[in-house]
Amino acid sequence: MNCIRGLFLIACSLSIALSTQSQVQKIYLHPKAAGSEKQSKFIDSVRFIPLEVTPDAQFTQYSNVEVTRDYFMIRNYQAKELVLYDKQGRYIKKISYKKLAGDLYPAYDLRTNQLIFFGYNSTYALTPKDQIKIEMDWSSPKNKKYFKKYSIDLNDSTFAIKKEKPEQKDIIRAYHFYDDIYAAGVIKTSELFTDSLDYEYKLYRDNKFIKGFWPYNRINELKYQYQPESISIGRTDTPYINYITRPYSDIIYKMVHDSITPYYQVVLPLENSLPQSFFTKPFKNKTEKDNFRRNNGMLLHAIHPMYENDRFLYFMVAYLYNWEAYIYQKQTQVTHKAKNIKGDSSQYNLSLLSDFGLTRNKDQFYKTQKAGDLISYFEKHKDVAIPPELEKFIKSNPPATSPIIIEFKFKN
Amino acid sequence: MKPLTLTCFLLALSILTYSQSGKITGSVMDSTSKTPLELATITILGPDSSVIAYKLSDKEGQFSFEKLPLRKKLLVNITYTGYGLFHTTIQQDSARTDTLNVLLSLNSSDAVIVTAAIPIKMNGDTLEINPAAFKMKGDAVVEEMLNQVSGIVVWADGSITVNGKQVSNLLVDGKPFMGSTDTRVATQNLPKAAIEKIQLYQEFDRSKIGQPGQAQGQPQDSLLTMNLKLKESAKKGYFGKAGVGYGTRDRFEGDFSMQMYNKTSSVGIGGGINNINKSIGNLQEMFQNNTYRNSNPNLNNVGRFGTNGINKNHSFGGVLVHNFIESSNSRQNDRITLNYNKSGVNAFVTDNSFQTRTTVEKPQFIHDEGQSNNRSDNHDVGLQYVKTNSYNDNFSINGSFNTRNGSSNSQRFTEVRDSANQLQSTNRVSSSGSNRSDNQSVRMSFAKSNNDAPAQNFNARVNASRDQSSSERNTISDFRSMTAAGNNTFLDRLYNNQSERIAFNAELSYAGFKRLLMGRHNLFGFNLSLDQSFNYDRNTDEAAVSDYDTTIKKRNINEKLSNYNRRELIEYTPSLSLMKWFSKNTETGYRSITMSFSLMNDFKIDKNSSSITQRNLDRNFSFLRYSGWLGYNKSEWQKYQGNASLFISKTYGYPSIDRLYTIVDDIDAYNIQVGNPFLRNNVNHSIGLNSNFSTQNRKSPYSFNAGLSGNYNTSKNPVTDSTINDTSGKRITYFVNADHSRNANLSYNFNISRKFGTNTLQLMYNGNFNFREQPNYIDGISNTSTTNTLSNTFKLFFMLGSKYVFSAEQVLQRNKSKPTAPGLNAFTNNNGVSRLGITVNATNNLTFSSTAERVTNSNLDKPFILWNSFATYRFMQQQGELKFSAMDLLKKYQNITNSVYSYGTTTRISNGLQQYFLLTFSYYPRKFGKTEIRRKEGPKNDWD
Repeated sequence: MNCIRGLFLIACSLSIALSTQSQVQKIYLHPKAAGSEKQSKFIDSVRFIPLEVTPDAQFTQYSNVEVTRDYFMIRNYQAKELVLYDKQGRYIKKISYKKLAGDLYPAYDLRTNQLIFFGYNSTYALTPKDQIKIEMDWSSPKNKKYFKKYSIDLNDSTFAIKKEKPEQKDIIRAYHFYDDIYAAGVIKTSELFTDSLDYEYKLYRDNKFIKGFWPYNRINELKYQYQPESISIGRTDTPYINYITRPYSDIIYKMVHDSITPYYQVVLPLENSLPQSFFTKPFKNKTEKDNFRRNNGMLLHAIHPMYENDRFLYFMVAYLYNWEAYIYQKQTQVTHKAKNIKGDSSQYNLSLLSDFGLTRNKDQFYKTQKAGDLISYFEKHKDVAIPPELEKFIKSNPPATSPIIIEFKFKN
Repeated sequence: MKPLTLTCFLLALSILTYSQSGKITGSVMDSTSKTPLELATITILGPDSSVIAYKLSDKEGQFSFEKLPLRKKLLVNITYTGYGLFHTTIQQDSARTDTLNVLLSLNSSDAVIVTAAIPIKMNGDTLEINPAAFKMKGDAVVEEMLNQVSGIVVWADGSITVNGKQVSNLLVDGKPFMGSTDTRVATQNLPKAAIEKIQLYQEFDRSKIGQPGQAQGQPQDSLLTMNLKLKESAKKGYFGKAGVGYGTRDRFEGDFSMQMYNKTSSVGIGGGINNINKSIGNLQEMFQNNTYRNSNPNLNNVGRFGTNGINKNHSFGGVLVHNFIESSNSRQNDRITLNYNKSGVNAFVTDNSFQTRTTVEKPQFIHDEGQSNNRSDNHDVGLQYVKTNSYNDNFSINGSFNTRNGSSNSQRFTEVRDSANQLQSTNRVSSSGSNRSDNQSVRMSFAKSNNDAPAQNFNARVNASRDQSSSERNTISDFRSMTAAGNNTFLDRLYNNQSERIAFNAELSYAGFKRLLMGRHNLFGFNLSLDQSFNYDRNTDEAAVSDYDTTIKKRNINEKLSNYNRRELIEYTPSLSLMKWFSKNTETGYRSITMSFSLMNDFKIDKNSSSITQRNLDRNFSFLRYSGWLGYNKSEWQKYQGNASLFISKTYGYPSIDRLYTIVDDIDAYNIQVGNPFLRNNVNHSIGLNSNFSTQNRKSPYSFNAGLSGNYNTSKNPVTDSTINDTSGKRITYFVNADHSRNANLSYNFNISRKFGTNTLQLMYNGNFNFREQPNYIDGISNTSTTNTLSNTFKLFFMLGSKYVFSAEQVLQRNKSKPTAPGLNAFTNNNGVSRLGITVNATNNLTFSSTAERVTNSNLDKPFILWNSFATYRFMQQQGELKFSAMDLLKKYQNITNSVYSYGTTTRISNGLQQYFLLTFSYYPRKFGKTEIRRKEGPKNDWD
């Protein structure tokens, strides 16, 4: 009965999708022929925030900045360290979380202004099946030991790491969505599940499921077998409006409150599109699916919307074994590969649209840069005026490995 | 030394000429905004379109080239994604610096199809080389192109390193080529024009499947793999060589190899016949030696002067590889390989050996001369089936069947003199016989690992084999003593031996033991493995020995030597291993420490039944032993990689039945061995060290790697010899236990390569030192013999473009034997070989090569020189080859070798090849795809 109900819901979703397809804006993307351009055509308002020089903070290749309510937070994943600066760049504190065993990394919760470390307890070696079994019976006290949770309250100037009790929302990987709503978008299939009906995207209030989107068979949905997937959310600057995408789908949906409509369709050449058999013919086992994925590395896996304004849509495309960032220019209807966009002299030859380490806070983007890059640029280009916010910093002759935060916006 | 001086002069001259060079600096900018363009590709091509150098512009769009050739028209090509192509020609007539500032314009369309042929790029974790970016002569093979890629070194011995790391696997379209992963067959045959791209990546080492820690993906558990991706039009082709040659002294050679492939199958056949000691016994070796490469010809694939005797070799064989699936990756395999090889040799060897031997009274000087004629005829059939679906599973089965038929005749005369040159004894031995052996074996391995079910991770191996052999040999020995004539012996002995060996071995490594024992608990990150090994070995020997009685002119059964013996050995060894990894990724590299400790118990049942009463012996043993391993690995990306490991172990041994109750045969009066039923078990301790270092900087013209490995072993109660030099001159050896013995060896190598544009200079040095301290008894006196051997080889290799190849090599070896007991003598010998080689590719068709080898030996009055020269002419559109070989031009060659043993040293001189001249015609059939690729050479510009 559940199966019939599932099929009925899928049919309804498909018919709704087809009926709205005609209104959807199409973005034509040819991965091999994505355009190149100068960076200044896309971004402006470049501003530098020099950070107070301290031996505690060194620029690393993988440094990225996160903007919290009161601080800039530079993460160093490899050293398991965080360095906090205030919004003027003054050094506040270095926090090391090396002592937290296992692969626990901090996630910032804007609502509570806390850093949350949550993950599996490294005292145990869990298989994917173990994880499903534990998550199915998450409320059992004997299963709590498999998780670890810590927090750092950024309202508290001691920045002490506190041990927390894992909650349901942590275990089902739900995050705060809006108001008192939490959302989860993890998609898993397993024969361990007793009930076949699940939704790709689920909303919760007070730990209770209130609404689901895109039902699927969590015992044996063909496209989701053998590999966990997830829904991707792109926040906008407008409250209650988000972009949402699904695995193996070329549609970018717009979500207003809890109502979803197709918004863009990213049209890829046939050579990058998944064959029909992927959705209809089951893989014999995980290995066969993995081989298909590796042997067809440039077929569409998922689209991840990142930002949109009146002129541009910035998004990423995950292929089965590759990924790329693109910028769609609405006026010319041309899609550019972010890697092909090169920094030019008006922006100090800095390549700011790199595919790693870029973070966003509302309409502002942030990236860290090594001080040495800017120092050598201004040494070689004496005719270029040093921006006022950098002048004092550069004259202080900082170490080349000191990080600087660069803030910029997409042109509008 | 003259050739060495000449080479040094030529090298110095070429380096001096080279130092007179030009330089270009410049920048690449956007034509409208004047924005510097970073990572623009600037390629400098020679007049023959060969790549002289290429670079990527820096952040400021700037570039600089040094050491450019003078007085040559050079083409400068500048490409940048999305921009139009820029090219210009330059010529520098004197050593100066020119400036080239280039403004590139955007292509008119916003949607740009990339047209630049980028020579080298990273695609994820794979380094990709685009052959189309390297303009070379039409018939250039892949190896010639690899020589021009920065970071890649094709070493003089044919091995390839990429950023300092050796390529362990070479695949073509993800599969072993012609059933082999050796680099030479593919890279020295396939034309560069047939290759779409060359991929370099780390691939998981399948032998580690099912082992604990596999999931961690340790870098040391992976193999550097080079995959040649064929163009769609070249996925079908054939190549090979057929050559015949005839020369003076009736010397001849014939080689044939033909290899065909398509998307799923490949077939190779090969064969040869010669009387110039050229090695052709192995089909893969035939394929490796008969490649198409011409610019650096294999000067070792010629008559081998160092081989003992004159050998008439023949061989013929074939290999068929069929892939049941058409995948182009190396994860999925479903492949069968069948091979057959017939080979044989008819060898005629005469030799003279001079041996020094210490005794208590006075040292012996032994002169031995002999001649022998040996014939062998071998058939080898092999079958291999491999099936893998991923990196997590492996199934393979190997079967082989071999037969060997042989016959031999030999005569040997030995005389022993004392230090006053007085003759003590002589022995004249003649022997003739025939032998036949058959072997069948099957080897199977099956491994599986599953993240979802770790308790099921295992690796199993099963081997079974059967060997049967029979031989008949008649030996006549006439021993005469000058000191005790009464001890003269004359023996005419006929041996008929039959033997059969059946062996079965099974091993199971169970890596799921931790999950089984601990459930979900991670055991503090330690891994556990439970391994089992079972071994059954049965040897059945039957010897029927008879002696000819000259009085009654009849053969009598020799009751002491004729025997039946059957030995069964059953071994079971369970072992428990504990392992732990610590690893850390940093921004600039990776480092790890690996520790493992294994505890094992050997249970052994050794049953011996024999027609000789005292050899009926049943023994049981139980040995608890251990081994431990500690490894450290450190990598700094784009800088260096190094690793060091330490190994310790404790093992036990027990004396074999043949040492306890030896069947004493006195046919060789100088080597009569007598058993000792009171021999004790021995205990062995070993400690080993292994370390490697290599630079990994792709941008540096230097590539450097070095390795050091050694081990030190001690043994308590080792079995050793107590030798009695009988007054008659006979030598009788008794097996006895000594307190302890020790030995050590150390080997080291150091290789450095420097690229100057398209030129390569390589220096290779390797050496080894062996030391052994063996207690023994000489004529009842307790003694400790210390032997050591030191060998060092230096090699210099210089390739000037594709025009000249120089090589120089020096080998130095010293052997020393020193006894501790008073009255015994120490002996030393040493030898050295200096080799020079030069190849001049005068034109695309004509190649001259020459090698010279100067041999010195402490037992030779003066050194001798072996000088060979070759001229090769290619015609018929580079597919026909005429080669003239002039071997041993000075007619001075002697085959001489030195060795050392516990009682002294040996120098052996044997017959071998002498001066001959040979003319060889070879034809290289080659076709790749529907048309011959080499005529279609041209860039394919579809790289993304």
